[in-house]
Amino acid sequence: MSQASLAFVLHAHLPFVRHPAHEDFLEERWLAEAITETYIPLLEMLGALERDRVPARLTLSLSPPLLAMLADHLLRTRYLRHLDRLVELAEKEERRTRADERFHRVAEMYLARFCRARTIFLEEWGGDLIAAFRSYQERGLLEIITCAATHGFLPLLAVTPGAVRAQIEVAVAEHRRFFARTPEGFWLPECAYEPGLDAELARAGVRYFFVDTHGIAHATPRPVYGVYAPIACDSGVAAFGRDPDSSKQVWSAEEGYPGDFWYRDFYRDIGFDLDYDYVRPYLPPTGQRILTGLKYHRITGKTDVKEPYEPERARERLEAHAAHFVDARVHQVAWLARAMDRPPIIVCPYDAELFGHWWFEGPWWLEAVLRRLATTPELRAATPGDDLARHPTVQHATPAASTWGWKGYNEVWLAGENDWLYRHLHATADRLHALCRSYPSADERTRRALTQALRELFLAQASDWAFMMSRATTVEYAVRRSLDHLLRCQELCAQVERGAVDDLRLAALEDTDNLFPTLDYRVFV
Amino acid sequence: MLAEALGTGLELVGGWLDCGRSMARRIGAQVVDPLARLAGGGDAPHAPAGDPPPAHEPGGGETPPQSPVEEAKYYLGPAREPAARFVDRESGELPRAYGCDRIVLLPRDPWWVFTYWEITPATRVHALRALAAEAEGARELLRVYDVTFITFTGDNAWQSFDVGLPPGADHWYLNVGRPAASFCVEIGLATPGGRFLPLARSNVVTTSRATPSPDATVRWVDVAPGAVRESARAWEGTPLARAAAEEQAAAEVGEGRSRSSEAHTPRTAR
Repeated sequence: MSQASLAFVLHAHLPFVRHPAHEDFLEERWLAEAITETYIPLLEMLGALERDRVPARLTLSLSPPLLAMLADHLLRTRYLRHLDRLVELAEKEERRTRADERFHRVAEMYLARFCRARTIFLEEWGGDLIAAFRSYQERGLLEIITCAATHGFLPLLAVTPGAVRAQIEVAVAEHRRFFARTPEGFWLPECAYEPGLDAELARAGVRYFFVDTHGIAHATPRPVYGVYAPIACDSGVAAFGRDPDSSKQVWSAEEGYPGDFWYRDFYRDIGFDLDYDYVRPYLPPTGQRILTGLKYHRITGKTDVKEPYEPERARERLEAHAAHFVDARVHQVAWLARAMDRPPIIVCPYDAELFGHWWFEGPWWLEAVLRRLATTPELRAATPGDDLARHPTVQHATPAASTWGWKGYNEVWLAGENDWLYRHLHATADRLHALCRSYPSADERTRRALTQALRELFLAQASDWAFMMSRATTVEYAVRRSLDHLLRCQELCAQVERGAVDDLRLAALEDTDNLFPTLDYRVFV
Repeated sequence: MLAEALGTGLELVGGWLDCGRSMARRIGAQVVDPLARLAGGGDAPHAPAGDPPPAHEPGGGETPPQSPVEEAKYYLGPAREPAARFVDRESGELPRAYGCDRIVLLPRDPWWVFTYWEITPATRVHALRALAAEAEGARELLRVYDVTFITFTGDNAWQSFDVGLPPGADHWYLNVGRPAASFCVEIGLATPGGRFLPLARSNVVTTSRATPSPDATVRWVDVAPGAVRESARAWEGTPLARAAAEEQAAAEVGEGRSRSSEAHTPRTAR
């Protein structure tokens, strides 16, 4: 039998966070950290693999809000300022730690890393990381796919006619705008699928999506190959299921590789450890202590007494973990080869920000795995698109409604902490939908107002807010953002209904919530 | 784990999703209105949240593997600041009501659905008038209909059950207890004499399947771009789930083959 496929799928997403009215806004650091710690290291990895002619293939989902932020001039400028401060802090740290070799080598590592990030961001790609990813797609290392317009949790938005379709169509349009092609694949936010969603994907020209393991295991009819081959829905769109084994080995903080005691600790950071006056220039304007990104300790064990990080030992561990991962997959496909009459595909989806941000060594581990795969005859790195091209005959079945969240269904996004939100999301969407339908054509001012109202609705629909409320992380910010976008949408609806659009207010909102520049409200009729 | 991934049964996810319906706990009854919380932190008048969602066990108390990772995306440090730091926030408040009769049903998991509703004062008054003398002692309730595989016309449901509501309730978690089934709910007034006057009817929601499908039909389609069509492929293989189960059984009776799950157990010592 020919080679089995191993499909790494990285889902890169952050909610749209852009506060031009603030010089330095705390939550904008989410993007800065993800760029420095995940996106740039991934680009560096792709560059190294290409240079060494390693036949790597990865699937990367770049969500529309993330693309909007990476393309935004203001946020690029702010990122560069953030990175410059980081380089400055690392230079100070290099000097401060000279007396202690154990910490000094780590400080040197950070200085080199941040300087390298600056080179990649500014000199290699002129601040345009989207161009960087596009370039790797064109050179065959990446298959870039999309996600819903603002990462809306689609099954909970479906009560408003057209709401799901708008999230999908706008995402696909944004993808085309940045990559000049229709995405083959679609990352359903939170892997939230319910029967019928696939028809909307088919309508947008999408060929495949992903579900969690039980979405396939409980599909109807029962898939004969389990998660090791795609299934085709009624619409002809294929569904790929997550492999539970490889998933657990990487995801689990306790049992998985990222919890290894030699790996770098995420929480121990000089933002909390060092003298306040020393770190103050690198904290937000409010002066609260936060993570700076400079962390000198390894996980060490289940203890608060942390040992210094040793980059060489961490390197050894990640090589061992890469070897273990590939070995486990070889065993897995050897077993599957006895039971299947087509080469299996092992689908390994992860949040991209796992690699580098949460699991510091993650990008190097991924690179080590891809290098090993290149010399492993049983396996090849492939994308779901590659698999469908090779094996276009697929069993017909409909996945079961499911998500990859806690307990496997909708409970994270529909719980006591966030269920109040849906009444307002649905009522606001219904109102805007009716209004958009009542304007088959509109004068320029009304068109702009309806289009901005739709942007605000999209922003309110982001699943991130419900997630944060439910998981008790940055709840206040999540509630605030939900309210602000709902209020802005309702305000614009009221202005259009009254025939009294406030030009200044509209321009201000267009300037603040400026994603999807080519959006037209008629996508929501 | 491999065999489980192939869909051999509940142990795959059904085990950790085991609904534990009897282990119900009340949640939501003390939910603080988020708007009120933002406005000043006080408890807003709260509505009961309805039937308690179950404390799923096992797994109910576990954090999912990816949760720390997803949370880490947003983690900048433990201290939070007051809302005053936003200069670009909106000052208004969301409407308490939207002035239209509506009840919406949302799926939560294979055993639970969530519903919220709004009934305008005018509709209530109108309904009470319509009940005339029967209005005395009438109370609000939810009537939940099992409408699996049917187009609901109001009187053709397979079965239904009622949930009495305390005054002021505007949302509820309903333990429908049936995976892969379709439900619809009405909010209405029930009289002591047994009459039910519906005020609004919801959309239909289908709960997820929680176990492998009994349907073992094998049919193939070609999904080449632009030409999705039925495939003539004939297939007489062994479904992987059965193959996995047979292999495991064989290993257990000592034929010497290792269980697939063991092959995949991490061997790396920390």
